[in-house]
Amino acid sequence: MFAYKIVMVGDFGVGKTSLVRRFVDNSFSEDYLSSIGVSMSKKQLTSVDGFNSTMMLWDIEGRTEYKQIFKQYLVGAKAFIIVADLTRPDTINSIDEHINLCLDSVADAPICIALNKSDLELRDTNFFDELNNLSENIISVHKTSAKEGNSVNEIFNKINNTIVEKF
Amino acid sequence: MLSDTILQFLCKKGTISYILFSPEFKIIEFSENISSISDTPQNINIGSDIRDSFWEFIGIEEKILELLKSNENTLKIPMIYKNSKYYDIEIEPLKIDKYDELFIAYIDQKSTFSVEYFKTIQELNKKTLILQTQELKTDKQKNYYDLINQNIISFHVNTDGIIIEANSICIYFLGKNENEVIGQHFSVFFHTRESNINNNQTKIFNAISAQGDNIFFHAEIIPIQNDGIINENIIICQDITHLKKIEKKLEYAANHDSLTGLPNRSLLLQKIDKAIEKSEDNSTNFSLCFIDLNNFKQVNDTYGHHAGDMLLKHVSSTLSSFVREDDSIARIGGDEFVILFIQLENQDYLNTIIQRIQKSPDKYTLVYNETDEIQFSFSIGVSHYPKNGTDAKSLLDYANKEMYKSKK
Repeated sequence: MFAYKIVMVGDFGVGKTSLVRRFVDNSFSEDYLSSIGVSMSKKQLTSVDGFNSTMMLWDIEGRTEYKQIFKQYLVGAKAFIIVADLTRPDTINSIDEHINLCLDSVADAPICIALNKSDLELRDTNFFDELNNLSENIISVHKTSAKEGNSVNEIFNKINNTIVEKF
Repeated sequence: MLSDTILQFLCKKGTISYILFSPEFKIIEFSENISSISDTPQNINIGSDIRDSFWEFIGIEEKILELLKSNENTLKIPMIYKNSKYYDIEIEPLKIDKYDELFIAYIDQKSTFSVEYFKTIQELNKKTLILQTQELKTDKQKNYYDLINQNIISFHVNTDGIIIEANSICIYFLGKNENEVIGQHFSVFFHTRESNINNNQTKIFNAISAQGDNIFFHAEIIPIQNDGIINENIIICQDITHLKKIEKKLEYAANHDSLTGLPNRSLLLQKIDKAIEKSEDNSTNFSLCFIDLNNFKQVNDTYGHHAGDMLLKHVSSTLSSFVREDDSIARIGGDEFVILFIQLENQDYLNTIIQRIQKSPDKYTLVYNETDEIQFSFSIGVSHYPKNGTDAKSLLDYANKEMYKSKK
């Protein structure tokens, strides 16, 4: 079966692990435990064309002020999901840097952007156009909520369909 | 071989595992302790695909081929978290015996000490996130506060009422420079009945804006304690001008006759009370003139209520022409009017006025339409303070009786 790697990238505490848990196990925990290093999860998927594949999800530790992301984790990724926290503007501002980091490793990788914690968003914001313009590699921008499950499957399925189509 | 035995022994004693694989990812050899690290230990067999048992090898196909060609001869994947343990994986090309191209992946389990260190980092990250979230909340609260502060006038005064600080909207409202406001007593700008400041009190302030508008404020006085002593107050002003206007309209409606606009019985009684107070203080007198419109019912019956209303307005206008600035006229009932004459010079003057009032219908008949003129006349009774009564009720009763006498 076709198996490929995608990497979740973003600042710490934005909900990368929660998105993976929601997608893989359909579970969610309010308790925050920051990821150290990388943990991997596997999900069998079927594309819109009926093609079966295995998505390997690399959930890497988020960038902090004191620790950058290990570039080694990005090696060989077929796509990236860059995650930001809608309630923390700094994490949205750093999306551009994460894009550059990802494209340094894999120049032609498609990128999806997940603006997470939409359930906590106080005001409805719309900067989709602005984010879409950051790179030609961006295939979609979603407001997600790992807590409520909003747009979680959509973003992973979008990635899967794009990769399968390229394959 | 002894070396093989020693290698397996060392791997078992230590925390290192290894696995050899071909460029096609076929497993060639592995240490016994490798199964505890595998995602699917049952798939670890000589000749099987290493990617079926170690997911981290998926995606590195191109990279390991680069290792064979480039000077960079190690691919390191640090800190892989599996089964509550952390591992580093290093992959290097290897040449052994018959194999031209091989790769060895050695997997090093992180020590307990390292794991404890990582847990400390996790805790730090958790605390940082909580702190950042709190800071965001604080920032939001500050933004809300600033937004409110931008729209509400507030200033600080010391215990003597001297302004020691004023917010920008206060300065803007007054149309002054800050140094023209600071140091002044607040009553210079904000007028109130009492210019002293009492803690936790509310007051009604009245101030003139830079645009010249007369603005009413509900002012809340909040004492500020420094070292247990109240040495200043914050005064927060809320514009209640619209409420004051409503209050004035309600007050007017409560005290005036809606048809003629004249004061009603309630306001007349207040005015008589005031006149009594004033007369007691100054030893002066005043008189009430009770005026009844004769045959008013017939006007309503003949011409209708519309004509009756027109007549009442006409009469109120006619009678008002006999009233001096300090006097008052009121409509106290359907066709009953009262004039309060203040500080009459002498009885003759009052008699002259009453005669003029009696004759006024002849002069000021109501032209109802092209063909009809409505005639009217008055019956009048007079009472004098304090001769005919010492309170409003008795004075009105007396004048009323006099009016009825004159009808007969």
